[in-house]
Amino acid sequence: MLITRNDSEILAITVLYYKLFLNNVRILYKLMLNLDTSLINEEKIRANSERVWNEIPNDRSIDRLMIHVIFNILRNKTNKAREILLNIYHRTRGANFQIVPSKLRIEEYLGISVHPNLIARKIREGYIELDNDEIVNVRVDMMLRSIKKYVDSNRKELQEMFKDWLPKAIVRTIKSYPPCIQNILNRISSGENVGHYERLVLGIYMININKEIDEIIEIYRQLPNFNERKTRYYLEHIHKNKYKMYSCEKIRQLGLCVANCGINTPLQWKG
Amino acid sequence: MEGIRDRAVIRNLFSEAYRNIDINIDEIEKREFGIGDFGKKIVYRHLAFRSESQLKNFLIERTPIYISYSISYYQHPDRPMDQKEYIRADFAIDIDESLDRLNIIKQDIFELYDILKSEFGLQRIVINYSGNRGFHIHVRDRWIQELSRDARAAIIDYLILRDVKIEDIGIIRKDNLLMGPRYENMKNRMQARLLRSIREITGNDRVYLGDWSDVDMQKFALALERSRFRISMDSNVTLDQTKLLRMENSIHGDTGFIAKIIDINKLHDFDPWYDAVLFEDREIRVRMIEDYICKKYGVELKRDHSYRLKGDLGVFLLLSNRAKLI
Repeated sequence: MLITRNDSEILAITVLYYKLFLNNVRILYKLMLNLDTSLINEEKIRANSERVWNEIPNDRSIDRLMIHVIFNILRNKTNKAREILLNIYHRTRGANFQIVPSKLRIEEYLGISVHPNLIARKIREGYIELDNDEIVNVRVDMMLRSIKKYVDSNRKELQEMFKDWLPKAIVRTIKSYPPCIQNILNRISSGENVGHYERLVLGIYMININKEIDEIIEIYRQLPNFNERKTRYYLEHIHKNKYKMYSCEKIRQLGLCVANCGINTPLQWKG
Repeated sequence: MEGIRDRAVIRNLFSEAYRNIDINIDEIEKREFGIGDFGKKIVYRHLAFRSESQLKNFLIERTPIYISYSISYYQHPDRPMDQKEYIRADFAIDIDESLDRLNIIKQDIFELYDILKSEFGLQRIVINYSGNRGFHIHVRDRWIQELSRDARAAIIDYLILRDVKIEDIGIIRKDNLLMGPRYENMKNRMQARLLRSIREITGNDRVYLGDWSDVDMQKFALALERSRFRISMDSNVTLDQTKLLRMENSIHGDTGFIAKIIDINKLHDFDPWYDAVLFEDREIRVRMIEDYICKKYGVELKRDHSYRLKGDLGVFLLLSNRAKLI
């Protein structure tokens, strides 16, 4: 079973879902009222979310999957969202997906694709010619883009609306990073353009604790000279080549050690 | 170039030359300009001109030693960066190469031009000699000017074969065997270049490409390297929309050469010493600071000797600190 979220998450994504797709004003309105009331107790949330969740008929598991798509986009897990959309596409045989012609203008293709890859495409006279597999990818990307557009243009409002349920920015929520890593995070969030080794150590650490690349990128996004392509490239490189976490000794040599934790590698930190 | 008189003479020569140079700049009122002086290519930027005649007067009267313009078009080109209001930008490729490799540069530019034209269907491709080393390609078709940074990056990645995986060109891997596609099924020119190199390296021209153990993936890396254009293309220039590039038909302060637009049909015979020089009808008397051999005039110039030289050579020697005025 794909759906193993806790209730509050389900509530949040359900509201999103209804707002976006079902446009069910009645349910949304009720939920908004509840959200505005600071007095709601856990029980009430639970009851409410269960009820809303149950209002999606069981035979509409696609709808539930769709909720996960939205939820993952809201949490910047675009690749995950794309994976689920692809799953939906195959289950529905593309019934709900926009039709894409097999020939697209290059600028359209580049505008739609999440990961455009021209070297693998047939390119002629300003057009990209797609074979059947590629059309699926492009359709999924189009769908993803339209949902993403909605989420992005309402991101602040949505995050504010669900601030109690969505994980907060990584930097602020998790207090259990080892001091050296926390120090780098603090410096980044205070606006400092930290150096190469700080970025490298942070990246290797986050990859080693299995944080998702999309999530790690959100940390780097705060850097003054942030470049998403480069950042993603380096993180994927670290991931692919299974970079080992530096030892505390090495971190000390780099001048990045800030405490005496009595451990050998930051991975041993039990915050 | 240090001497005050030398500098004044050069500036006068530039000024006079600008009287006879036609200035044609696409949507000049939306471009940002940057000017430089001896030894520094950009001293001021955020300059803007309302018309070509205003710019021409500026060039004649103020005569900057270098002038560049933005590849971007702005609502307010004269304001600080964050207030300029970006509209769109040329797709520009900066080819920075030593002119010793002029034949290689030309070959690669031809191929690049052809890919842009036949695959991308682009019509407004301008090739611009930089006035010193290398060339600039400006593409001004509207759709490419309006592309986002990511979309531009995808095109550049294609042209320089960045992050290419073996599956991308239709090679299927079964255990250690790699099955290649047929040449006629190649989807694009860069793929074809790559397949050609793979076949050269493996010595196998059939569909089956041979038994490549994991170690032999180095061959793929080698093939990739061989298939790339030999000219160095600075992808930062294409992606950095704040970049200023040498203004077309301006005079380059390192050489005295003119940053000329070159018709693709004339590229083959292009030689800056014949096609991009000014001041040929003048004579300049200089004393050499170092030895220099000039092929064009067939002269060997000796250090500490004085010569009466043609203006193009004289100005070049002065600007490149190889000679002083007498």
